[in-house]
Amino acid sequence: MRFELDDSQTALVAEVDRLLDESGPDLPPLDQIALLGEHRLLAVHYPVRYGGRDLTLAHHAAVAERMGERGLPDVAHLVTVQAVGCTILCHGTERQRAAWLLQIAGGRLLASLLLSEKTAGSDLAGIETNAVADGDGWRITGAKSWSLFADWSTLALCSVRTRPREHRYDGISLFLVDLSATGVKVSPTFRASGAPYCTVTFDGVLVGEDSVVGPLHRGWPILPTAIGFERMGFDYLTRAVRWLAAAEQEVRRLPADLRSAFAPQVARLRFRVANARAMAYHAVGTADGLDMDEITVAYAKLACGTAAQAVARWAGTELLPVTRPDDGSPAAEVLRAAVAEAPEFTISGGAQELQMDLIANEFPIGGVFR
Amino acid sequence: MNLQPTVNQRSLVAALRRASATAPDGTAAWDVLNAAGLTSAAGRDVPDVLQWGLLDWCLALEELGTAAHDAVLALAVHASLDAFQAAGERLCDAPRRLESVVRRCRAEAGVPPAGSPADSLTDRGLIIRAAYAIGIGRGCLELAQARAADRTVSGRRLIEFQGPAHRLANTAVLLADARIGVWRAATGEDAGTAAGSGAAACAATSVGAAVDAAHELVQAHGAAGTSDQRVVELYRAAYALANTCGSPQLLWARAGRQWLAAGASSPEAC
Repeated sequence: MRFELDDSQTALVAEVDRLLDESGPDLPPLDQIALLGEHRLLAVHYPVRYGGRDLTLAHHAAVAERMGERGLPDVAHLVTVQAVGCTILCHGTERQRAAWLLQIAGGRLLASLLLSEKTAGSDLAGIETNAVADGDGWRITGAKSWSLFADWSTLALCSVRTRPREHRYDGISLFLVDLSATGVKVSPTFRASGAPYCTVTFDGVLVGEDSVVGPLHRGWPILPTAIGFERMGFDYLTRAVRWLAAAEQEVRRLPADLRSAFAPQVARLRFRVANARAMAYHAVGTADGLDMDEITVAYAKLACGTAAQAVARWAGTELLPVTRPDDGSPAAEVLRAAVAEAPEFTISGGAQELQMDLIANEFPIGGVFR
Repeated sequence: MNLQPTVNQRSLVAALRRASATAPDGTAAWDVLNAAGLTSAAGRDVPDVLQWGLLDWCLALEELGTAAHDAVLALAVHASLDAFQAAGERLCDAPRRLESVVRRCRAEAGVPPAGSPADSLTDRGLIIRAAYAIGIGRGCLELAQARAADRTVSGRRLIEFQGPAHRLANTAVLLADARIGVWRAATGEDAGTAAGSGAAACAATSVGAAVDAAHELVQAHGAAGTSDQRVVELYRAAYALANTCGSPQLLWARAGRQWLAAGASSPEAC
């Protein structure tokens, strides 16, 4: 067993650091992403012809983790490269790959995954957004909810009903939609923390027949894969690590008696976060190409999400109440934001209940981690 | 990172599983190791205990824990071998030394250790006991799942209800978390990196997960679980872990002290 990155992964992380350090502290996040893309670091697991380096998913995870640690908008990056990019790579046509993957790997565009709707959150088969045939193409009408950074995106992978269903999962297709097209409206929706959610409304938006990704009407089986690509847990993991570091920093500023009182819980959280990290790397390390075992991924996502939540919850209930709210501590600010953001981690990218269903169905249960 | 056991480690676990399956009830863990041929190098492909690192011991102890084999002698032998190795002695050339170690440990097996285990055990002693605790928990979980798959309630199998299914899943996640902590700490120790607060954290997490699993085991059986000898035996074995590993609260206190003492450089830092 090995609990550290291997030499090639460590070298990649060092390359990310060197590039971003040399670019100076004032380079805006999107330009940092483009810089990494220019050096083929954004999607190192893509084939060389699509802007990658033909490396493994674990190599990509090492880069993604470091991007998150450096405060880059990892959600935007993970959704673009993993959820949308990998779906195009695995299920798209050669024309779609040629049209989009070089731009995605190059950090020249961000993309969104638009699945949830007001009445269909975790139940992705319950969507009402629909498309009707129009000439050689399709017209899409409906609204997608709770998407992050859609206002930064120029492309979306969107689930749409294309015919009345013969059964619950029938009649769903996936479309690539240009978000600058006529009839697309992106509007902000209140969110407890950070950037607002985006609601994306389609008002008879015309797309070509070459926008369909995967089989028409039978896109449902692709959906879990698309979510699975995104659902590695590394976005949660980087939060957990950052929040834990902030919590430790705050604890070390406390008087000795409080430091001693809180030390056991800090040790507990450190242990949990480090284990979650090992699980996440195990999940990507055992992938067959881009194909990760869904049960292993369920463990990793749950472990990372709940570890981050545990840090935030402890900070919110124990640590922050004994720190001075007016002393301008940056670590305390990080923890206040953590408390607001943490609930999302067992909801987004496949709710906790879905992960638990996957884990409970294994026989014997727990087999993937022994 | 790579959490895959080596071929030898898989063989070790498979040999123990076979030996455990045919061992009579009440067989001690050391005797199962003997029956599996893991206490003697003669003619075996799988390395014997004299060549094991801490991770190998942990994999073995988890497997032995699933059937709740009494591990007192095995743990004592491990501690003695560890002490010899810490003193710089080469044990792999000394199978006779093992015989004398086992004889001495057998004679001392009934003597309770001094002080609370949470304070008196070495870090390595805590890690290996944590592995055994995970085995007890795993035994509970697998029996609970088997019962939930068989038992019919209101015309449906118990495991088809989301409540029981998710409780079992949660237990599996807790055990996986504890197991990875043990593997991480043991791998580090084998590579010369002290586990620090991670050792007590392993033990505290593992005992907690095993006790949770024991409750799920009884719950899955319903009232029948409280009069099923196998269920009761595993339930008691889970609670006995607090005596062999230490109470979780005291273990976390130890982990906290170690974290404070180590400062920002403690080894399990992310």
